[in-house]
Parts: sequence; structure tokens; C-alpha cells
Amino acid sequence: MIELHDPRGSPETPSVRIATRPKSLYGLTIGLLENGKENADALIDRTAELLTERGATIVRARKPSFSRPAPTDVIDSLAHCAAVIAAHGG
Amino acid sequence: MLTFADAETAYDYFVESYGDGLPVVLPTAQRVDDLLRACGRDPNDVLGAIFPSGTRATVRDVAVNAVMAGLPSAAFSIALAAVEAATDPTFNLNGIQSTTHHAAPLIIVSGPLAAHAGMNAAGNALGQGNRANLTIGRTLRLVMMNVGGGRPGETDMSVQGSPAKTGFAYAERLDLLAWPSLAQRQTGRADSTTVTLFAAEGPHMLGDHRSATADRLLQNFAETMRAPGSTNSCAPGDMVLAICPQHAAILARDDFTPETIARELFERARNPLGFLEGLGEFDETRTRRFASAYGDPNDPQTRVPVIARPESLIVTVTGGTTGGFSTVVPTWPASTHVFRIVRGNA
Amino acid sequence: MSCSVRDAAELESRGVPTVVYANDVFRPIAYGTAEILGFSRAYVDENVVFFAHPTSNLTRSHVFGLVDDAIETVERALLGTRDVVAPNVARSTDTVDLTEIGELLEPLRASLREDGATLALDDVRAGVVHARLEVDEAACADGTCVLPRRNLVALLEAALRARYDGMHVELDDSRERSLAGT
Repeated sequence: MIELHDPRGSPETPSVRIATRPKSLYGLTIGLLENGKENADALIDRTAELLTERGATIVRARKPSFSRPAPTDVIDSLAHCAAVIAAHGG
Repeated sequence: MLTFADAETAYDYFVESYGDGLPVVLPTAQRVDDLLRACGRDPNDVLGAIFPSGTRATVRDVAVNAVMAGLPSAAFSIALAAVEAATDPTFNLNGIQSTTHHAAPLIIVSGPLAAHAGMNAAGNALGQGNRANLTIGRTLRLVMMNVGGGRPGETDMSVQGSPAKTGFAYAERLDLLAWPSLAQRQTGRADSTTVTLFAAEGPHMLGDHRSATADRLLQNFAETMRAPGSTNSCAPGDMVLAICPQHAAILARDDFTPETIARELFERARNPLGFLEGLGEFDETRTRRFASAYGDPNDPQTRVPVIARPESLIVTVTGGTTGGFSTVVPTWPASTHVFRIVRGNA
Repeated sequence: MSCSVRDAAELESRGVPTVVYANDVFRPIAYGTAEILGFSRAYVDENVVFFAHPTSNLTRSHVFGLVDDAIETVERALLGTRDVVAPNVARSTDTVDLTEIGELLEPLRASLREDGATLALDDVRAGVVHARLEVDEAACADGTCVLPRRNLVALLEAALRARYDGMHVELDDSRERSLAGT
């Protein structure tokens, strides 16, 4: 028998929460978060048009860097939305 | 602790599950304790969260991976400082661990503790043949893989990676320095040692045996720095210059210092927007946005620098005296370099 | 991609349902990041809408077409009513039968036959495939022309895991029996 240290350290189990989904898109405010990668803007532009046709109001936001999580002020600007689509081009 | 039937089973398991592709030394309690005793720090000290897993690495966790990497105990304090630097949000470790770019952490060690750790700053400073140089970089990589969970094909999306991803560390050569060391410029103290952590693309050699003046030599540096394939060309960021002693002597003789070298290269290493348009990573929105900081974003004559500011260039001297070969290391511009002071071993 | 999933986690924790667009080559990191953040892989199946990679060099009208094709999936994802049939996604091992396994492993078994070995499948239960490797001594006396056991098991498991979640292989290797007898 041989005993060795675990090189992974002590991972903590994160607690997660998943938001409740809406029943319909009609009349909802939907946030569209663009990450700035190539063509993410085109994905978001067309999504905005099609969701507006379905009765949603659109709020748009843009991340300053696609290589980092969105800063708090960007998340804050979307926190009042009923739902958000985060578009990642590439 | 993990328990195995015998050392051979354990070895196979460690190489396969916790390795980087090379053989590893098994982290027995004895070996880990020896390393911890040598550094004199509380094994439970938390250095910070290693992303993407977000697991908080302790001094002990680093020691376990350092043993696996084969790190000499005299170099442990440098490895600890490197891991601590990696947890700085400015460095963007989560991005480096998951990007499709080839970015790898480069550890630059400047100051007297580099020699104490046994690092080589002379011939082959960026190459093979020195245990401390190779295992300092490897320790950080193993911490990133094991504590941080950055694994190729799972969370690490690098398209090709680079040899630097196995481990990339070098020391500044102090005995031939004509100006204050990088550590001294960072801390204001001649006796301090620092590690500077930088998101490195593959290193690119810069050979020049003809230039007799700093002016001609710096033009070669500038041309090499502005290569359009590197991400710097369309998104200005940091860059590392590892200047060889022969080149450094020419620059010093012509009264250049790290600050004036950086200012000069900030001006010279630029590409006109008209050259970048339609080339490589040129992006109508993004590149023009960057360009607007340096001139009219719609004028093809506007010259876009490859380093964001003069301070973005990390000027170091390293290597042997047998020729005029320096190295330019471009970056992944979503990361900014950080440094930490190395605490001396107890 | 990792950052987009982190953004989604932050928004979900604030009570905002979030759907992520990503290119399909980032499926592994989407799963990896979701698991690190404490979500299940199902969160990715239900809330990430994947597009064929690359999208960076497509024209704007081409990208619009991709969104047109995807919008109903996007709507169902937002409402949490997406009928998830993700391609190449591992599924439960409960209902697997041996014929299916045989078909999946046939390319590997064929190459083993060429090397003078036969891989027989005995049974599959509780996520473990029980297999036997018989090496034809005449073809290769010491069995070394066939993959070593460890590599062979890894290959078999990799092939199985492309379709099934967490499938293992128990291999009875005739080469080990002959070694034990000597």
C-alpha cells in the first residue's frame, strides 16, 4: 500500500440556482448580451428582429472583452430582464 | 490522501490522470513535507483561486505539484510566487486556461534569488539543460491542470498549444546588466526578486549581427514585433523582449535604458491601418476602436502600435555572450502581465 | 465560451433565465465549465444553442440565415420547453444491448482480427461491458502484436463513451492467463 497527496487540492462544491423560465415571450423584456467575437453582433441583430416580431422588448448590452466574464455593471444592466441571450461568436 | 495497492499502480495512475505527458515524481508525504519545511511557510496558507475550477490553492497543494514536477526545494519560493501571481484577476487565468489561443504563462524571474534557486540565465536561458528553469514552469502548469482543472480537450480549447505550455520560465542575467534589473524597476529595491507572469505566445528569435548602432538594432526589433500573425498586431497588448547581452551592450552604449527602449519601440513597432485592413485578425469594429486611441480610426495612415503603451513592453536581458540572438514574445492581449515579490526561503 | 457560461451562471443566480449561443466546437468546454460551476450537463443541452463552427468568416446574411433556422429552438430554450436531442451526447447505459455495443465496436474488432486476435463480447450490465480477448497463438506467439491491455481498454472505452455516459470495459485478456500459467 502506498499513500500519496492528492494534487487537485480541496475543490469546493458550488451551490447553483437556475432561474424559473417564463411561460411566453410575449410582452417580456429580453436582454441580448454580445461578447464582441467575430459575428456575435450579426447573431444578436437578427435575434433582436425575430424576438421583437414575437412580441418581446429588447435590451442590448456588450461585453468589453470576450475573454473575461462580463463586469458587474454589464450584468447589472441585464438583471431586470425576464431573460437573456448571451451570444458568443467565433 | 490517495491510497494505491503499490507504487507501480500509483505511478501509472498519476502519469495518466494528473500528469502533463511527462513522467512525474510521486508526491509521498515525506517528499511533500521536505519541500514544505524548506520554505518555512504555513502549508495551509491560501494563495488564491485557480480557475477554471476556482479551487483555492494552498501552499501544500503547490508543494504536491512541485514534487511531481521535480522542483528543487531552493526554487519553491519562486514557484509559490508564480502561482500567487497567476491568481491575480488582471492576469485572467480563466481565459488563459480556456482560450483557443496558444497562450502559456511565461515566468520571468529577476533578482538574486534566481541564482540561489539554481536558475540559468546564461547560454540556453530559454532552453534545456537546467532543472530549476524547467521545473518552475512545469510546477505552475501542473497546478493549473490539477488544482485548476485546465485539461486539453475538456476545458483547455487551445487550437495547437505551444511548447511553452509544458513550462516556460527564464531568469534575468544580472552580472552583465547595464541598467537596473526588472525587479529593481518594479520594486525600487536592488535586493528584491520578483516573478513576472506573462501570457506568452511562442517565442520568436531575433538575430542581428550587423547592427552596430542602437538605432539600426531597434529597427530590427520593431519590424519583428509588428508581425501581422500575432494577436498584438490587431489588438495592442503586452510584449516581452528577452535581449541577449550582445544586443543589450549596444543599446546601453548608445545610452538607451529599458524605459527609452520601450518608448522608442512603442513609436516604431506600428502597422498602418491601411496595411492591416483585410489582413489576418483585422476587425472592422474592434481594430478601429483600438486604433482610435492612436489616431483617426478611418485614416489608413493611422499607425497602430503592437504594444498598448510603452509600459506594456517588458524589457529583460538574458542568455549567453556568444552571439546576437534576442527573443520577442508576443501575447494574448486579453491578459495583462502581473508581478509578485519572491519571499526568500527560510 | 467558458466566460459565456460563467455569465449565464451569474445571471441565473440573479433569477434571470439565460440562453447561450456558441459554436459547436465549444461543446466540451461548455460541459466542462458547467460542471465546474455545479450545473449538470443537461443545463448545457437545454440552454446552449450551438451553431456550426466557424461563424467568424460568414457573411452577415449567412449568419442571419443561421439565426432564422435556430429561432424556434431559441424560443423553446428560453421557455424551458426544449426537446433536447443533442448529437453525440452521451446517454444512459440502462437500455443498452450487446448488439448495439457490437456494432459500435466493430471497427476496433476488425482491426484486432487483422492482428490475429478476437474480441468476444459476453455481457453488458450496470454500465460495464464484459469482453474477452483471445489471441491466436499461431499469428503472434507472445501477443505483443496486439495493443497492450491498458491501451486497448482505453480505446474501447473511448469508443463507447462517444455514445454512452460513463461506460466501462472489463477485459479478460488471454495473454494474461498464459503469463500466469508460466
